[in-house]
Amino acid sequence: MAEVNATDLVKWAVKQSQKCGADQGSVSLAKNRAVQVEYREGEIEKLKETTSYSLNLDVYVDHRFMRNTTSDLNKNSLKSLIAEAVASARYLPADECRVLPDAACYPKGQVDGLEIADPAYSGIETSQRKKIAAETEKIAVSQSNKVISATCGYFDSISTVTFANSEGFVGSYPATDFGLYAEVAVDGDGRGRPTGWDWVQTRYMNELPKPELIAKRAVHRGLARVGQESMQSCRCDMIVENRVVGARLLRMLQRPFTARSLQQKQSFFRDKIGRKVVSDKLTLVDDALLKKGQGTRPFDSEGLTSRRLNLIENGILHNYYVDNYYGRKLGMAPTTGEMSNIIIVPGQKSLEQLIAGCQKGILVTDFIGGNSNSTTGDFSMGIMGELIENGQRVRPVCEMNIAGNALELWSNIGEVGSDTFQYSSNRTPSLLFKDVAFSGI
Amino acid sequence: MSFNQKLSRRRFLQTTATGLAGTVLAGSMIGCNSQSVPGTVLSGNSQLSDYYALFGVDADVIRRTISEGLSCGGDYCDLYFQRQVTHRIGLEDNQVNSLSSKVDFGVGIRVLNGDRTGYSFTEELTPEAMKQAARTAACIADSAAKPGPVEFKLHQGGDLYPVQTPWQEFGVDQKIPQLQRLNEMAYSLDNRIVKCHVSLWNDWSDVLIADSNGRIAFDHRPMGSMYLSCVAEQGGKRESNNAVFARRLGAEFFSRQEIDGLAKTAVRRTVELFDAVKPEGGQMPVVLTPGKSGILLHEAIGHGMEADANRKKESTFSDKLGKVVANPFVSIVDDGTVANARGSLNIDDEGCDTQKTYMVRDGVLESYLHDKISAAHYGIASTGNGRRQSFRFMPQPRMRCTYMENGPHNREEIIKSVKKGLFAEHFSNGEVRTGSGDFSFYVKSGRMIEDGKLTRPVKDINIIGNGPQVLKDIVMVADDISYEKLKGGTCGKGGQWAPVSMGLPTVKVSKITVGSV
Repeated sequence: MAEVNATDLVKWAVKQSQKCGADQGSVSLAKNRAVQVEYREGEIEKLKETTSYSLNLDVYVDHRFMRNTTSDLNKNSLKSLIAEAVASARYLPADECRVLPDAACYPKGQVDGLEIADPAYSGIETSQRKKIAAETEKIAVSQSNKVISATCGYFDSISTVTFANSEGFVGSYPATDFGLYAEVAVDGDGRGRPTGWDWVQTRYMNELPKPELIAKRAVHRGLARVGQESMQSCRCDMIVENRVVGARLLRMLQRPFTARSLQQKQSFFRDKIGRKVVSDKLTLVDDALLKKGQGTRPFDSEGLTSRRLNLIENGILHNYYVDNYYGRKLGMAPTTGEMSNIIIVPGQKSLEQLIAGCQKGILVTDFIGGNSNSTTGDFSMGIMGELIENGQRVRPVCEMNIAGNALELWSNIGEVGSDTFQYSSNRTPSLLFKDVAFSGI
Repeated sequence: MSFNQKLSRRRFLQTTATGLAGTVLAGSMIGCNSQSVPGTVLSGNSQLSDYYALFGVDADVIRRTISEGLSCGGDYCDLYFQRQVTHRIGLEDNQVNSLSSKVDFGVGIRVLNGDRTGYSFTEELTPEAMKQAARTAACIADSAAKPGPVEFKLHQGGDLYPVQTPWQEFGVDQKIPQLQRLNEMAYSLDNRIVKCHVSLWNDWSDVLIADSNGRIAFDHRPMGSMYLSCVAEQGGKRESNNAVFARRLGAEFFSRQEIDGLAKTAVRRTVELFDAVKPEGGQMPVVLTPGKSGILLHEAIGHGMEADANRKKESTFSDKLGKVVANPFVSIVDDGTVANARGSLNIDDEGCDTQKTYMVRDGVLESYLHDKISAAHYGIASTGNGRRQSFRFMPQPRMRCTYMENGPHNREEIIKSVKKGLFAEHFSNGEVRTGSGDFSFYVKSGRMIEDGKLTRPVKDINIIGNGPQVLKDIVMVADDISYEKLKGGTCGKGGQWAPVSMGLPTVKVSKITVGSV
């Protein structure tokens, strides 16, 4: 696409919205350039290289709101899009909460020191990308003759977000992402072809772990699944490995934290600010300013200035995710409606120490399916992992479910590990929960 | 590349619209919206020339772009032009309060070199931009240039979803009363209802697919999806539940009686939960009621039968073709040809005809689900399962409408045959590991079966099993599935979402692990 001056374009679109009858407008443009290389059987399986644009255009017309998203940056196209957005919004009933965030909510000047854009990005050659992916695959395949197939890939991207609104806030920031992954299928000795995966993402290329580490971890995890089977239903300790805490387990707490869930009466955290809701061992922070964080940003998609938000401090509920609209409906000041880096403040023990201290438990290395009810806290999800007895890993288990209530589960934290996972926006250590209900045979 | 890359090789299914609620995927707008994007308004009656006009291209530009794609010696090149317009309108707190739209417009360019893929896309449809993207995709190969197509022959697909009232002609002002009606119905049905949320998504996608074999095809694809969620209060307790209806239809969607049925279903599902208990966990017989229960097939067998996983020998079904995998009364199909079903397609996203594909016929594993890459690998014709989220993604083998054909039993005798078990009625999501065959799905609500009778309601239960084992454990199949009972969902695979349908007659699985306290 022909190069466009992003700042000029978004400012123009805001003015154009007002010219067409909107009293307020907010426009953001994201440009993203991405490359992905995937190897299998010593050859490139996939090579994808793309540049894309996405323009979000929000109009507010007499307390009526409409959002449009388009990749067509042609000014004539945008002119008619804006005119129609304004006309469409007028069909809606007035809603006094549909106004832009107050002027005080936006960043004052540049936010420095976030380190989310790698200055080395522009010097990266495709040959380097291929080499990393190829090496990962080669090492994975060579680890064991039980490896049936390995698919390993490298990806990177650079994106620039440019934002302007009619309150006068204009902001822009670049960000880079680098990632490396491996997935292997291994011979399961008659019970399928279990897979092991590893996946990391960083903001700087030189912080990516070596291909060898990713390849070996994926194979190791695949081989650890050979011979897995279900076991008797029981109540026992549950240790959850650091990298899967964020993606699955924390999800049951996240939706209830949102202002929309609170306002729509679909949150078990409703009316609980300042009260103890979970174990005092849990301190949960959303930190949008974390240096080099995968979820770090100077402002969110509404332009709200980034901050460190203490959600739960020693078990006590402190803050919600409050976006502008539902915040106004609830009469609460906005924080942000979007998650950034989720941090569980770490404890003292390594994963191996948690295992060593466990008499009987299951180490959960992955979740499969499952869901939770944000209104009541009921949850249930599939797990796989390893049986722990007397501080030792005994055998791989699978085809089991855990179930319970989110508030009870998180009130039963026994230990918080020290091994914070560094390679995603979920910065979570391993966790030990007491007295978890496992369903098996 | 998003954070979701981590999940790139896993498979998810979201059977309600709630998974989309956090992102702006859709919206609603007045009819004149089409002026905001280049070209003309297409319908089911449009001709090839209309598609050329929409995308601002002609046969010569397409030919030159494909030739550029083959300039490094690739075996095959295809172009996937797409314009998709998506609208969403939402109601909360008794009034319509959100409105959004999204336009996706561009071309994806793919070059194949054996099993290997080079891919790029551009959102700017000038000959220069397309040429540059084609050159990027061409780099998957590294030999002498191959010739492009000499001429194009139009391939005519099916006509599974003719549009009576184009969505373009159905404005915000006409949609608002539809949402309000549903909202009012829900409140009037039960005075314990304290909150309702209604969302309507609709979209239409126009695609034009041309390849280096000289084949060109187009399709106009409409979609409508209505979602209702309710919150109820009783004695200080709160419960929520939902219902959704989705079909490939134009705005005649609103004349379907299923829309009114949503209010009754969502309210019943919500208030029933006040009496719901958690069953005892562990292995037990599970009876699945017709409809979205097809999620069982989607996870237990469907993903494992997608041929990319088998081509790579990564599926638990990789060595089972031609073998007996289920009782003789079990036949499982993936069918792209069900009229107006959410997962149906006149042509797939590689321009191939869709078909009814038997994965299991009379208990025997018969066919994988193929796209062009896997079909070439196995030396057979594509089954028409090559699908992609949009022009920004490369195609992969995906399910369409996955269901089990009717069997010899009936619903009453199935329920009667269970001494103690679970009757699973309403489902939200599922996931599978195709390698080990382990899969799970989430039962949002259902009932217990005790001594052959339906008893207490139950809620929020995850079910986990192993695909090949569960297929063997399907011991009874009733005769009560019909095309009308297929339910829509949205399936995730390799970082791409695709609309699908699924269905199942009333079925009894003799044992499967139920998650509970």
